[in-house]
This record gives sequence, C-alpha cells and structure tokens, in this order.
Amino acid sequence: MLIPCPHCGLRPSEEFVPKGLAEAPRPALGGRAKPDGPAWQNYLHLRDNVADHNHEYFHHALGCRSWIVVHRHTLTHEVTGATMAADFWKADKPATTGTQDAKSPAAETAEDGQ
Amino acid sequence: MTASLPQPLRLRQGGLINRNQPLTFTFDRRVYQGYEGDSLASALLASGVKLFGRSFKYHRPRGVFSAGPEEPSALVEIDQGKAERDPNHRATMVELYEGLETFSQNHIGPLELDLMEANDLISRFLPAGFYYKTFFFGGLQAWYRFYEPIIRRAAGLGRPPMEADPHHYDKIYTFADTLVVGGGIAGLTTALSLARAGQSVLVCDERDRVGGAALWQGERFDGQSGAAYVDHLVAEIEAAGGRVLPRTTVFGVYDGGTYGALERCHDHLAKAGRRAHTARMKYHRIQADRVVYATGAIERSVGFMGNDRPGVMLASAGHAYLGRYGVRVGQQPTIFTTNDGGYAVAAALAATGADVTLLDARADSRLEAEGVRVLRGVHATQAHGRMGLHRVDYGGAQSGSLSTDALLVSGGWNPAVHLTSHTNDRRQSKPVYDANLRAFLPPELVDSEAAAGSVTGALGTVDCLASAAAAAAKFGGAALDTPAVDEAVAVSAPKELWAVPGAGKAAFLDLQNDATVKDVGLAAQEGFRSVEHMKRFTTLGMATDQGKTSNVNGLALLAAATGREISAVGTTTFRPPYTPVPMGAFAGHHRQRDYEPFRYSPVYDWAEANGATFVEAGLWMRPSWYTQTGEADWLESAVRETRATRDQLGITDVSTLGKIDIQGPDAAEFLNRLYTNGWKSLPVGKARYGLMLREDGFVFDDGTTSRLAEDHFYMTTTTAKAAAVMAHMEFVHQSAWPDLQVAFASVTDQWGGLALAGPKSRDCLAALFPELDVSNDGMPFMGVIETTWKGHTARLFRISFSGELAYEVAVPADVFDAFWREAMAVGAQWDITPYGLEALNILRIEKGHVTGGELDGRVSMDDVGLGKMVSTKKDFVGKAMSGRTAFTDPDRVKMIGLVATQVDERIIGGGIVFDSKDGPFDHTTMLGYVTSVAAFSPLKDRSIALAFIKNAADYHSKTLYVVSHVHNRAIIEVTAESPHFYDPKNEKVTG
Ligand SMILES: [Zn+2]
Repeated sequence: MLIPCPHCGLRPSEEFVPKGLAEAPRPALGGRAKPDGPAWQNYLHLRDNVADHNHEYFHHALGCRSWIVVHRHTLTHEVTGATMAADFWKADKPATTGTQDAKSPAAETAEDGQ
Repeated sequence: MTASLPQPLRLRQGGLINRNQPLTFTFDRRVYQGYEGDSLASALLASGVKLFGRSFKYHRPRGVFSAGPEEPSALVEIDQGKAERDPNHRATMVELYEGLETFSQNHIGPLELDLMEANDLISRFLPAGFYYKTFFFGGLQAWYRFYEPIIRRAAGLGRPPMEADPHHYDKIYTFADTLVVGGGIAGLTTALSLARAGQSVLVCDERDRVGGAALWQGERFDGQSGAAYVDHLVAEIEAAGGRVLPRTTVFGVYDGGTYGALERCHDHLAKAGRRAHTARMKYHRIQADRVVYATGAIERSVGFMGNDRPGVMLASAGHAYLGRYGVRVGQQPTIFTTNDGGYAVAAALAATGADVTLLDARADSRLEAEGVRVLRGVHATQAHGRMGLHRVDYGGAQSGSLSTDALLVSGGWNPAVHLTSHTNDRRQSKPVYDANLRAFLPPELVDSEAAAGSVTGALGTVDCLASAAAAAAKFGGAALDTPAVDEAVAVSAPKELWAVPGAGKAAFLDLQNDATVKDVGLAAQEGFRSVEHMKRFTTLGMATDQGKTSNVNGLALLAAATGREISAVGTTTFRPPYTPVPMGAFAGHHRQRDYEPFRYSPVYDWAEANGATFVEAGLWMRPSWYTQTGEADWLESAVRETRATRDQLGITDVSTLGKIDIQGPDAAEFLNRLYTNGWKSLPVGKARYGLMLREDGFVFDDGTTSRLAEDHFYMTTTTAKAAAVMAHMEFVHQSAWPDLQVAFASVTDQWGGLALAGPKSRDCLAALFPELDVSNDGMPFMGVIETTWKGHTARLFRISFSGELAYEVAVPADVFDAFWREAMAVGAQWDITPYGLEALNILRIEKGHVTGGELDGRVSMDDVGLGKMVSTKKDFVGKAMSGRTAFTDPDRVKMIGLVATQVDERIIGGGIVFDSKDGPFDHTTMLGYVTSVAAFSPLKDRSIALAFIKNAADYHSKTLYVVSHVHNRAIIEVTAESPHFYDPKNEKVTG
C-alpha cells in the first residue's frame, strides 16, 4: 500500500504507523466534560468502523514524523487522499483530494466544555 | 561430447536442450544423465523413470503430471545435509546442473516398496472428513498419544531441514511503469509495444526460459521457430529499454501497485558456479503504475479411475516434453481429450514414429491428426499400472482396452486468474465463469490492469496476439506488425466433462492431497454447499500446489452434486503466494544477529573490556553486571555493586534513557499539558520529576525534565518508552494543539550520560568539575547546571534513582567515553564501582521507584502511590479519564512492598499473592501479583519485591504468601510493608 504523505509524497506503508480512526477531535482544554460523557467517549472509544471510506491517523514515523489523516477504503484499501493532522480539525482545513468531508470539527467541540 | 548413461525416451533430435553439454545428477542416489536445458522431470523421464514419489495420504505411487509450476505430484528433496536439505521442489521446475542431488519423498523404505502403502489398501476407511470424525474416539488424549503420531508419520510431504538455512537472500525494490507478468508470446508482444511507446517495462517470467508454449508448440512466426521469435522479441524489448527477468515468479498482487516477486538466482547453477555471499533468491518488491497479466492458462485433467498412475499426465505436458526437451513420454501413447487441443500433441507424437491412439470424448468432432487412430465419443474409464501405466480401459460410444505406456489427458484449460483476483476479491469482484469457454475468466479489471493471452480465455496463438494488442492499446502502446502464425495448433472450447461416468474413489482430482471425485460427492452429502467448506472438508486445493490442476474440476463437481450452476458455486478465494516462497526470502538479511539493529552506548567497549555481561533492553545492549575475579554468579556481582554504591560510590551508564530537547515560547505550556504536574513555575536551572498519562487515564511513562532556559527544556524518558513518548508528543501536538509554538527532537543518540551515586558522589563530581560549587547550597536536590568539560557542553543534574545522594552528568556522545574514563580515574580514590542493570534494579526496588514492571499500562497514578502528583489547576492528557470510576474501585490492586520471611527463600517474579497458605491458590483467593523482584536486598538481607494487591493498606505488616504457578509452586512466606524500603524520608538524596 502506498500512502500520500502531504509533506513527503507517495511513500510505502511500511514507513507509517497507524493509530486508528480520526472520527472526533480531542475535547477542548479546560472543559468540564465528564469522563463518561459523550465528548470523551467519542474521542477515545466510539468508532463507526464502516466498510467504506474512513479517515485514519497515520504517523510517518520513518519519514518526516508528521501525523497525517489518510482517507482510505477499508475493503479495497484504496487511498484517496491525506491531510496533515495539524490541519485536519481546523474549520478552514485544506481539501483532501477526492475525499468525503470529515465530520464538522466545530460540531464536535461544541458539546464539550461550555 | 555425448551422454554415456542411457536415456531411452530421448529422441535423437529436437528440443531446446544443449546436447553438447551432458550433465550428471542423482535421484535417490542413483546416477543419471541429462543435458543442459533439462528440468529434473524431463531428464528423469528421458532416462525411463516413471515413479517420482508417493502421495500424501494414501502413499500411492506417483509420476510426473505436468511440465510446469502447477505440478502436484513430482515433488522431490534437493540436497542432503541437515541445513541444505530442501523439500517439496517441483521436479518440473528444478533445472538440471552438474552434481545435482535429488531424493524422492514420503515413503518408508525404498520408493518402490513403500511400507506405508497399506494406507492405499485401506483407503476405503479414509474418505474425506475421516480425520475430523474418527479420531474423536478416545478423546483428546487418544489423539495426542496415539492417532496424531501415526498420522504425522504416515501423511506428509518432504522433510524440513533441521538446521538454519545457510543461504543468503536479498530484498530489493524494483520499479517500472508497467509490469508484465508472464513472458509468453502475449506478454512479450504487449511488453514490446509498451516499451516502444517509451514506458519502462519489466517482464517477469517464472520459467528458466521465457517464451511459454511458443517454445514447444511447434508453431512458426513469420517463418521463424517459436524459440527464435521469442529471442527476437526479447532483444527488441531490451533494445527499447525494457527488462526481461526469467526465473522470476510474481507471486502476489498488493495494494497501490505493489507486487511481490521471487527471483531464483542460484538454484540452477552448479555449486562451484555459485559465488559466495551472493543471494540464492531475491525478493522483489515491485512498484508499478500498471500491470499486464499475461499469466497463461493451466490445463486440467478429467476424473477417472487410476488417473493418478505414473504415466498419466496432462496433454500439454507430453507436448512440452517432446517440443522443449526432445523427450517422447511413450512409444505407444494414448491421448484422452475433450477439445481440439489434444490433436496437436497426438500429431506431434505420431510424427516421431509413435503408435498413437486418441480418445475424443466428443462424438461430433470431425478433426483428424496425421498418423493417429481416433476413437470418437469415447472416454478413458480406468488406467492400469501401479508403478507405471501399461493399459487403459475406455468406454462411451464403444468400450475396450488399449495397451499403452503414456496417457495424455486434456479436460480443457483454466486461465491462470490467480493474480487477477488477489486484490480484486476485495472489490467483491471474483473470477467469472464463461459457460461457452467452460472456464473461469479474470474478474473486471481496474484502470491500471490489463490482461493478455490465454488468461483472457483466448484460445490459440492468433487470438492471444489479438488480446495482446488490446492490452497494449489500453495502456497507450505503440502499434506493432502482427506476425503470421504458421502451422497454428487447432483449438476449441472443451466438451463439459469434469469426471467420467462411474468415476469414484480412485478417480483423483487433487493429486497432492489425495482428494477424489468421491470425496466431493461426500462433501455435498454432508451438506457442504459452499465451495470454501467443501475445500476444507476434502482438503482439495489445500496442498502446496493450491489445487492449480484440480480446483475447477472440484467446484464443478460440487455444482453438479448440489444441483447448481458452476457460476453460482464460484471459486475459492485466491491469495498470495501463487507458488511457495521460502521464508528466507521474506526475511532477507534480517535474521539472527541482523534481525534488528543493535544500539550500543558510547561506553560499550569500556564495559565489555571490564567484565560486563550485557542484556538486550529493546534494541540497546546494556551492562547487566560486571563480573570480578572470584565471583560465582550474577547475584554475587550485583550485590557487591549495590553495597559499594550504598557505602561509597557507584557509577552507571544512563546513556540509553530517552532524551528529548524541547524549545519554543510555548514549551512550558506544552509540558503542562503533557504531564500531570505543573511546569510553568519550574525555575531555570531546576529539574522536576514528571508523570505522563495516556489519554485514557492510565500511567504512560515517567522521567525528569529540566529547564535550561525560559523556552528550553530537556526531557528524559525511560529507555523502553523513548520512541513511544516521542510519537505521543508529536500526536498530541499535531492533532490537538497545532497552534502551540513548540518544537522538539529526540537527542537520545546525541548525549551520553552517567550517574554517580553514593555518599562520595558529591566529592567525585567536585573533583571532575573543580571550578563549580556543587555543595548542597550551590547545587541543591533537583538542581541543574549547564557548564563545560574540556570545552564540551556538560549538563549536571542532581537527581537520584537509587535513593542515594546522586548526580547525573550528560556530555556529547562523542566525548562520553573519555568523560567516563576520567570519572573512573578520578573516582578511584573512593573505590568507584561500575554497576549494571541488576544492581540498579535492587537499588530502585529498595527505594520503591517504579519502572516498566509496574507501569505496565494497567495502573493509575493512585495505584503506584503517585496520586498526589496531579495539578488540579490545569488540563492535561489523561486528566478527564483519570476520574473514571474504575480507578476508585476499592478492590483495585495497589502497589505494596514484600519482604521474604526466610533469608534463603527467593520471591518469584510474576508470582501470585495470597493471604492464606491453605489455598486454593487460584483466582478466587488471589490478592494480586508480584511485578519486580530483588533476588537479594542487602538492606533487608533477603529477597524483596514490589507487588500489586487488593486492599493494600489493610495488609501492612501482615504475613502473605507468594506462589508461582509457572515456577515450582513453592509457597513463599512474605511480610507486606511500604514499598519505600530505603530512606523513606528522602534524607539521603536531599542531604
Ligand atoms: Zn512524511
């Protein structure tokens, strides 16, 4: 499998370490969210695991050390794009080629820490 | 030069062998001769050998069945010697060389008189599913003691080597615009077209010589022989910049245009011709934008009684032995065919003067072959000849019996769709059954894939060339002139015939796993409708050949037995590898000591020269203890080192600790979010112990971090977690707080570090840095000084892991050895003693410091007694989840210290803790478990340990019992106390 690191270009998957689905941003700092509340449960535990396109964290551990979010189909392994993790949860994040829109980061953070 | 040993089946002329180069080889220690260009199979056949081995289950005598990689029967061992012996080579793929030694497999006693042949005689007791059912009599014990050893001895293939593989293997990245798999006429033609269009083209062919069927089929191309035309194509491809790799099997198709290929570099060379230290095989990881599957087709057989007898083979194999090797497999051969293809080999054999009879299963065929007697509407019913075929019975429109010495069978052709399905399966796109061709064709290919030649279902060379042109056009190839094909072989789709009427028990489908026509019927009877279930019940297609010659017949018979269409049954899943790949090829040079890199401290050489015994800690080699003259064992050395450190002065190498340099205006804020405790108030020139949690609230790692400047910190991590901490910091920074202005880099390899510990450590430090004030006021506990040593930066930290007054000094790695030696010289006046990991362990257990044994990913801050280290004023990684209810469960195990009651009893690591010695010693009564053990603590004069137990606070000063179920189950009596055995008030470290 090849992974398109936004920084390094197309690189073999052996250079990367996967972490899991990027389905929710980390709840905002200083929030009063309870450990068993939805924000933390969503961030840490709840994953849809669909047989379809997914957003997944990969660490370019044997490359530029960037954490990236890869858009990948879990059945075909087709990779259609990647974004820097640093940009992924920003409201004005750059588009990833050929990918579906991620969940709105704004909506995810809103439930936490208000 | 000619061969001097008889080759009765070799013709005087013909074939692509070099008759000027005879080669001598052995099979079962008998000496034979063949020629350069022979395979082991062709040379043995030429020499009159029919019996090649014994079958897996019934030990039936078996010959050679094919002339290619699909071979199910003729498996041999190559070489002898415990390390060199290499089993399960297909004799059809073994190239002859001078001195080749080969052995038949799977028999006890001589091959001709296999003592296990009784399995065949009682084979009516061994139908499919027999193993699953019968051997449950007597239960599991009976299986292990009685049935399994017998079956293991009786059923099997070759013997594995018993020592490490002595060969070298290489791994290589190979790149191409377009990969062409298969170097037959179609593959080569497509490759030439693409190479001429400027593409970088790589052709991989699994055979020793590219060309496929063109090498033996007898067709001519623009007036040239097939072999000459192939040579012409290869030369043209190479002239256009393309590459052609023979002996290279593309065995797997992976995602993103990645292909696995195995190139066999050595196995065809005489041993003297193999250059030392060069690779026996190369594993190519091919990266290609496009692929052309020109993988050809594999002929299939028909199920009838005795169709596994030595002398029965595929029709194409008989043709290949004649055309490529000049071997006539019989003087009185019989062809049994369901399609026009059988006529070509019949005619070719008749042209050599053989007495040929052709049984055509089709009543309505009108085809003739010169000099061949044709019986129409007739099929073989039984082949006779246990050690070698001598007669075949036939039935159908007429019945009778023929005297014959070779039976060549063609049941049609199965396109080699294996590779086309490796990734397409995941797209739910499986091989498609074509009812007209009676063959499975490749699934729908994606844009980067094309297929050419008989894998597309094309019948005959003219159609194959047309499919090659289409494949080339898909990828923008250059136009080529199509050669005229003369003396084209007649081809047709076969009549549908998977097994002849009445075929049963001894009508074989899978010759390697001994699966029969009857077994498929049994599977259907037992209710196995899925082809995957039938496969597992009968084991059809599960041997090393993966059923290349048998799967389609099996699934077609399953379709008939369950009243379904073949297309509804479908194929089993094709997975890599296409043919077996030695494990050594995947390992390459990553084996034994080169399996992983080793990391060495800058003072490794010093430690080695001074008696250190090393232990692998992750990739690091760390001194475990330093043996001195007269010391009996590791414990004696470690205890001496511990005492010397407590009493005087110890020195240890801490270079392996993870070190991370952190800089930027937000560095303090970043640390505040990483660690549970606060960092903003830490003054410059001070260190602080920090605890990191995972985001789920469990303890992740600990270490000290020092503030070198307002915006500059120096972090240390444990040796084991250094890489994980770095990745964790990168993750939270980039995914959660990318706006923090902080940068950090691992500097583990840039700094060497030593710890001076013991009452004299301050004196020693002062002697090393005479210009510095290292008094308790000048450098208090947790003080940090950045200075120089002989012009190099030196960082001094007053921190302690041992519980003693102690300092750590870091200097650049390239001067660390010199610094260490100076410390040894200066410290000599206080008898400075180097100590290893074992003494370090005793020291830290006595002090109650936790390490990886305790921080095992299951403990909370509170569990290890560090619950106070939480700042309530700030957020940090893991804060929210550290409030999870499980952490306040009163039954939660917490850390405690244990001291053995008896001086001479040793607590066992991993032992289970109980509060009664009466048992039962199981989960119902267990209190907890031991995590770290000091086999002997000089402080307590006996063994001590750290453990985690329930209600730890209630057990202080109580008697407990430790039992190791994986050791000797001895009951060790211990007393529980605070884990801080040594200097609980910290007077030593702060004084
Ligand atoms: Zn990168």
